[in-house]
Amino acid sequence: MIKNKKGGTEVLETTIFIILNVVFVALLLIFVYNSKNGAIVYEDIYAKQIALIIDNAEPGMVIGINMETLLEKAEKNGISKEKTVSIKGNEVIVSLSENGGRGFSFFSDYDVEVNFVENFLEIKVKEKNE
Amino acid sequence: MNKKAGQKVLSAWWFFVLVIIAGGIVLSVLIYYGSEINVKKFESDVLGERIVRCIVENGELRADFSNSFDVFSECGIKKELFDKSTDFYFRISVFDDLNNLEYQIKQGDFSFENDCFNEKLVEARRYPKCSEKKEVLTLNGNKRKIVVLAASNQGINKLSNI
Repeated sequence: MIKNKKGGTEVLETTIFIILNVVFVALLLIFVYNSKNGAIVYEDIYAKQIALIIDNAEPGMVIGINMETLLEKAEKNGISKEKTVSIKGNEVIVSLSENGGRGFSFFSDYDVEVNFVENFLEIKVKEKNE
Repeated sequence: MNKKAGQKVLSAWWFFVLVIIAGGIVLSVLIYYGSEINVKKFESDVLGERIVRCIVENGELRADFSNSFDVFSECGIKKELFDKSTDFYFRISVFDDLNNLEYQIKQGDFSFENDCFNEKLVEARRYPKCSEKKEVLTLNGNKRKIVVLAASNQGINKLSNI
């Protein structure tokens, strides 16, 4: 009887030990997965991509970029499509959270307009005050 | 009794090891995903290409090119971004057929020129990345060589509560 009780305690201890280890590994995997899909990475990528496209463009050009991935992240974070990408002065600002965003400057001295057409970001590059 | 005490020590040690592993993984992930993507090289390439496209017309150097050529208005480049403490730099050099320097225009942070040279010797994250474009063309039938050096050291701007 005593032996059985001791055996039962050992099984319980081992089970708890294994559960704690599994929980630990799961938490680590969730952390790594969430970091991989984090807003910061996407804000960085898209701000730079859009700025470099603008720098490469000539006046009169209209460029479309597929923003499906970015919009999925924005939707998850409760950010509306229109708030994700904006142009302030010579800076492209991409924001995927309410806390802020990331900006990257372009050196082109043209008028630039951005707006969404479904999942595509339409970038219009025009001569100044055209 | 000894066995049980040994097990307790083992599990305490085991959790210590787990914490160390977790700390290592968390730190690595934060460093990896926290570091920004470096596009300085692409940006300097785009700037250099933009200037070359602007000063060369039909395989010839623009006839109005001189030391007073306004690169900013002619090439559609924002002048304010090339003022002091800027993240950009460019130098346009035009050599005649005897390889003598004929014209030179420099704008932006002049210190980048040394950094561009150092960039070839040492790898440093905070150094600007440079791009050099060389073209041989003609001006009124005479051979001209143009060298455009462009550099960028622009990083991401982290904004809070925009």
